Amino acid sequence: MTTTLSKPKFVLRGHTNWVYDVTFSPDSSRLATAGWDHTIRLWDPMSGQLNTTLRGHSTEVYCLAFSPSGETLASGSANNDSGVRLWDVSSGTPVGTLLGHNNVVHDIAFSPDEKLIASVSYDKTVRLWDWQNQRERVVLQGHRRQVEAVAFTSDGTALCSASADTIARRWDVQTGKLIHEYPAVLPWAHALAFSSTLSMFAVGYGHRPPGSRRPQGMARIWHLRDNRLVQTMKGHRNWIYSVAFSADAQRLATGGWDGTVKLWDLRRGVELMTLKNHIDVVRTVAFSPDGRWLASAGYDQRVCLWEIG
Amino acid sequence: MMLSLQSGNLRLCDRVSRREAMRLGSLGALGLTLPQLLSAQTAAVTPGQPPSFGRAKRCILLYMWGGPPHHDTFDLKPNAPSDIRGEFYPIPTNVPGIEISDHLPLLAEQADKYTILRSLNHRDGDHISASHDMLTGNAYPRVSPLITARRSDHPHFGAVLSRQQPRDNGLPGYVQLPCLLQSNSGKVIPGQYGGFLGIRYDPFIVNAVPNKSPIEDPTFEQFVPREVRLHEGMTPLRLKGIGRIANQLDQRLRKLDRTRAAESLNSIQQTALSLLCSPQSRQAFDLSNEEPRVRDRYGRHTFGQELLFARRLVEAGVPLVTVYWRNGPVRTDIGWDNHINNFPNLKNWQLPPLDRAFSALLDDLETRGMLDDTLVVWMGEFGRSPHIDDNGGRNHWPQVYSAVVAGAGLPRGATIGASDREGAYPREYPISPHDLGATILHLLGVDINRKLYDQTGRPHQICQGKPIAQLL
Repeated sequence: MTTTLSKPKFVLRGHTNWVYDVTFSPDSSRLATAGWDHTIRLWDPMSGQLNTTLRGHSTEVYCLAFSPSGETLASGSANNDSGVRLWDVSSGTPVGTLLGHNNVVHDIAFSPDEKLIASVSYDKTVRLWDWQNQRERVVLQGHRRQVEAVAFTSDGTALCSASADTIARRWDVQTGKLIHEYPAVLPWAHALAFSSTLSMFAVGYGHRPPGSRRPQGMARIWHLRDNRLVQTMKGHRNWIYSVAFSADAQRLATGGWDGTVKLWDLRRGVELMTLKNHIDVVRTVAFSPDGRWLASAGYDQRVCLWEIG
Repeated sequence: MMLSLQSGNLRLCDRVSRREAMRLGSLGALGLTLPQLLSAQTAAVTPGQPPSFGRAKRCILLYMWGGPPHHDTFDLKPNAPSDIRGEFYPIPTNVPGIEISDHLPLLAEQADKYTILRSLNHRDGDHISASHDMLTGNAYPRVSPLITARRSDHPHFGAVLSRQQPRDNGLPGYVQLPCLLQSNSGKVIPGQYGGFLGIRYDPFIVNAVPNKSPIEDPTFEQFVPREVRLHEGMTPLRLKGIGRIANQLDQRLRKLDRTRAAESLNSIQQTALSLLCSPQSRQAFDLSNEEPRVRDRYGRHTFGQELLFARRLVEAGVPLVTVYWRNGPVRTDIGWDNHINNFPNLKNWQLPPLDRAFSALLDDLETRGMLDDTLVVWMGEFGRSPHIDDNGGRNHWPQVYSAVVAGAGLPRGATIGASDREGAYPREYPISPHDLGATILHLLGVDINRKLYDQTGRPHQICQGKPIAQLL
């Protein structure tokens, strides 16, 4: 039995254009949101209050990542802005820029030891940065379409990147060499995400079942270890635009064109609940590391904070 | 009247000086002749014209600057090879037999309100000159990316309409949203203006984005374009008084300067003052009067709020509004010119707002009983190439492309013309942009067989095309 929730704990208003990414700090005490209004906003999830607005990007902000210590925030933007910016979270001041991508930076990840940043872009490249020296270390090439997601393995020796061509690739961080390819064998994906331990890879997309008038949103989960499709989730009306794993990789959140967010139990392979408050495409979803919150946001400019734990 | 209203230091909106205000022309009988007068223009059949002539009392043109890809919107080719058919699927609409992109699901549910033209074509692969053709119904003398708007250009449909059907309702003859259309190299796109008809037939350009952030525009929630905002302390009554004094001065000055330019300027000033003083126009321009629910329905993005604004304007009595697409991020503020990243551009920031806003507009016009006498046209200057290149882009393709027309008694739930198997060339019933232009003017009640006289009295053909017979 699926539960439907329509009232989030907080609706965070302030962004004045599409919200493209949301992410929680590692201790779950902060929520960062990135907008097409060129701002990054830091919120207190407990009170729903806006703490700081980070200004400096001159174009849309597409992605965010907290460092493992939570002291630094990285943000990715478009190519006519500084591609990746780094911010000191406590003071809200910019501390660096990483220039090199020549198209939208779509995802960023810090290595577990916090020494490296990986960024992926619509320019089809993955770039590894020694961010404290603001130096590009290596450019990983091989994706045939825009690259949309990136994550490090827990030991930091490898990273995975995923492209809209639905092929995930594993790279050796030291040598920059391609180790493995994981084809998801789908024509096209709108949303891609890795689980925190990099054991799984999720793809959100759409598919029109025979006889149906609308495409149906679907999410598929692959086990990366043996490149095996383990689950398929159906339920969204129309395309899925965002996917995210919970920190313990037991749950998956999906957001879609239909304005809903769905929460899935990956152990049992069932839908847990549907969250309805958005009135437009849900472009991003994120779990808090402590499992208490789920944040969702998108084209209606609002950020919904759902208490789920 | 657009920019020249506020040209130089003349700012009527928020920093109007007494001297500036006194330069304005007379008020005339302002604000008394809005929708009532317009509705008095009955739909009587004009002798010698078919019943479709003049069936559109108003028109909203949605111009997708850059050239939207027909393969991924309204003319999908699911059986073509993968490097042509692209990454989207066709979905059925609420009209049996008509399919459009799976990324336009809301428009798929409104297909019974519009007709898709699938065989538009011409030979001009340049944005600038091709736009002139689309916006005027006449070919630009040469194909070039280096041209810029000139007074000798053919006038925009709205200018022709204003000239042939002058109205005295205190509202602009036609309005352009959200701003002046320029190429990346700064060239002003021809076909937006009054062209050879002169400055008094230029559009009123709003020059504001109704969904801009409060940082950039404090009137975000109470959106009123700067051009129709009164400076604090300046009331319409006071401005009218100033206008009367200015008018007396103008009359004396006009005896000294009887040039055409001076007369044009006076006309512009009168319209400016009309806009500022007429409660109807101020009401129409104030988007905050709209219910939040309706604003949500159109989508809280630039394009959505612009279409809502356009609906308000035509409802108030503006006969024609052109909305130029400007919804992309700064990085790709090139409209629909998807030379790279065609599919991410489409799925992320082009089709969702288009789907929501365009479907909302059709629905809203229908609900208000306005669709039958309002013409809505969705078009760009060309389509995009069948083959997807190495950058994931589609390139300019004027050889065949699609447009959508709705309202004004046009067929609903239909397609006219067809492209070939690869979406490369017309397969049946080729339509030129001039034919589409002729159709727009015909529906608006402009007799395209008459001559249009420029400022020197030289006659010009109104439009090079012929109305699309299958459509009418």
